[in-house]
Amino acid sequence: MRTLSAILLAGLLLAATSPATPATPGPVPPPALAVEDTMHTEVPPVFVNAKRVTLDEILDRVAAGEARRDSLLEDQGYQLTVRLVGHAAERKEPRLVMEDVERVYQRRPNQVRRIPLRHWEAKPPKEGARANVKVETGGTMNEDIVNFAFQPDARRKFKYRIAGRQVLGDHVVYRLAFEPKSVLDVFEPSGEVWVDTRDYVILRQEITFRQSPVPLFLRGIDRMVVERQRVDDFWVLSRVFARVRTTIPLPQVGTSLDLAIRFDDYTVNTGLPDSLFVAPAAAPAPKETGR
Amino acid sequence: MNAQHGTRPGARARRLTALAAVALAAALLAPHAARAQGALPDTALKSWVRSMSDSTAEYFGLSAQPPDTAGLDSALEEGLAKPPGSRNVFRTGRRLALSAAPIFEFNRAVGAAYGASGALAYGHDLGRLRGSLQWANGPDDWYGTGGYAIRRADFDDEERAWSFEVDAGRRFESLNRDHYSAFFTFVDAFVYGTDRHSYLQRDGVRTSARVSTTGRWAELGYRNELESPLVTTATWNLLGRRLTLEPNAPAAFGRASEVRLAAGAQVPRTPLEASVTAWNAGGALGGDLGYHRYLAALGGGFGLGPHLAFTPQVEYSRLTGAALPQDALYLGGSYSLLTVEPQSLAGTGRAVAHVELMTLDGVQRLVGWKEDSAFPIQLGAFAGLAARWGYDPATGVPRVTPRDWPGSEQWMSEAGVSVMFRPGLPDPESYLRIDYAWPLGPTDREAKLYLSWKRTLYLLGRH
Repeated sequence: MRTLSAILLAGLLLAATSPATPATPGPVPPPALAVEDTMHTEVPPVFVNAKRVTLDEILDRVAAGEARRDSLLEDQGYQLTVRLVGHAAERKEPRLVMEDVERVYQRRPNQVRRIPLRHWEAKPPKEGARANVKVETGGTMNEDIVNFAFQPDARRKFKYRIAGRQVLGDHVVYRLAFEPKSVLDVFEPSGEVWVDTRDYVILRQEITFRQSPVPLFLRGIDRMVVERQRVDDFWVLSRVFARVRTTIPLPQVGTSLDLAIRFDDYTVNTGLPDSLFVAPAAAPAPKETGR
Repeated sequence: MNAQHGTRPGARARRLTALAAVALAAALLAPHAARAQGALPDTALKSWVRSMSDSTAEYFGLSAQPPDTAGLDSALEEGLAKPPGSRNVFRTGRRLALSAAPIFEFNRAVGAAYGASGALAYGHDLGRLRGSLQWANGPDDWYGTGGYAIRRADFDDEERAWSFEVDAGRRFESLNRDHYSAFFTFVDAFVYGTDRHSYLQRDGVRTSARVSTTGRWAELGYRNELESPLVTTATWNLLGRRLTLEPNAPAAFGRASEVRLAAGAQVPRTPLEASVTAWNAGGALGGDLGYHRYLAALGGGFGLGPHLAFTPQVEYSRLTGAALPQDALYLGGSYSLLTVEPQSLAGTGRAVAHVELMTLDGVQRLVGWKEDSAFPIQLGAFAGLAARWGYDPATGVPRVTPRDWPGSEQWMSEAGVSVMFRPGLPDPESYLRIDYAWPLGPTDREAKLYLSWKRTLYLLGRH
């Protein structure tokens, strides 16, 4: 009995501390591995002759993975927040200049409905003098801002290299760097993307511009980040940030500003109703009776 | 009762053993089950995504904070209650837009031309009507065109686009069809009297359609215009200098019915870009003027380390059929050889090669003085080689020749240094350049200091 109880206790303890335990709230720490430091041994290196995936193959798979992701999206809804923050990298305290919140519904092939939820400005302009930051969303659900450099056509414009790899659980994440083939292309950015090789979808992107496109007014774009989040089986846009520095101070903004776009509260492939996009047909007019 | 519900030692032990076995199995299988469900690996991926996201949020601070959700639900409810198409639904903002701008041009053929241009558009997707009207005090005549233009681009990719335009009217233009810098030519003519272009008048209609996608474009154009010569009517300039070139070279009179086909593409796996243009007039197209004109160009920018760029470019062009002054191939000036007077040489064949080594960053950054300057000054050194052939040696006017390549004696070369500034406006790729060039080899040409506004790969201009 004592033995059985001990086995039972040990089993329950093991089960309780297993990483699969769903009862533990919050992030589960990775399993701790004991380090043996009293014994040393050397083993000869093992040469692996298996064919390694080439960069071209990776690029093909990323293009296919992104296209597959796009093709599986039938509809989506999300809350879109656009925010402009002034004095973002100055001695002054950063200051919210404008915030726009909308609910966006999109459905194939190109239907879109945007419902404004809030518009806030630190200093509302006079009537007729409005100059807003407006983020346009078309009906398509392609996320070109993430994969523009990895579409098949873009291979003509960019050159690529593998900048790194890391293993996260059983996901292998590749870090791919890209830059314009022509050094004279001032509008094409350079950058890095992190690609999950399980479904070859881009998880994150960091973009840099070697030169300012308009040096006279724009000192530079310090940092631009595009993040994705997983919703059900899809990686979808999560946040886009850009920090811009200008050569001349702008009203309310100063010489540095952040543009932040945030995508929250996603619904994906829920079968959005027609009524969201199409106005109900007008009631038919009564027929003339002839009298 | 007790016996019924009591626990017999044997049965209890069996139950405990079974429970222990289940617990052990659970313990042993848990990691595999977790792996099968993706819980462990996804946890690692999720925590990586979260850590990257946290570091981004830390960098962007206030910009990364989530919005206040107060009132959003009721606003959504209210918005959803309204039917699609009402004011709360996003629309492309279709509205009537009118724009207008004054025009002032000057050259020795038409003198001062005063006028205005305007455009009328209803939204972005229906195109725009446009027009201009000028009165030229030299010939005391009116010039003006009216037309329609539309451009539609893919929402996600601005380079995937098509456009169409048609214009009709009377205009004055340079005989040099390939390269013409409006602003600097105006300054040369109006201020200094150093404009070396000659001009003609064109009356008629012209239209073109263009499609483009990433790294490729094609254009088809047609024009039917009556071409007529102009004479010099204004010999003055602001500084009162004597004109560098007083007579305006006369164009041949006649109707041109011309088709133009142009295409460009990036060369795969290289930073090179190629473009070809063909103009054909006469024959089955009708009109009085018959000629065939071809131009091909290739160029690109190669990075040499982090700070330097090497930019080679070549152009080859040829004119067959009638060698008319308004279709000739001109040589000299900022688009070929700086040490040759602009537009001073004309022929029915032209070849140009130009290489340049330039800094990619401003000097201020290179010397560590300023990381990002509003006025990044770039430096360059260049060499050029060019030839024209097919001309009358006595008069220099173009003459038809079956030769497709110049003789060795017809090549001219030069070298030079440049100081450049790219403001990014109005054309993001154009540089304001000060070039100092000197001729190479035995020649009577002289070294020249030149101010110009052009792209680095100027031979790849889209004709």
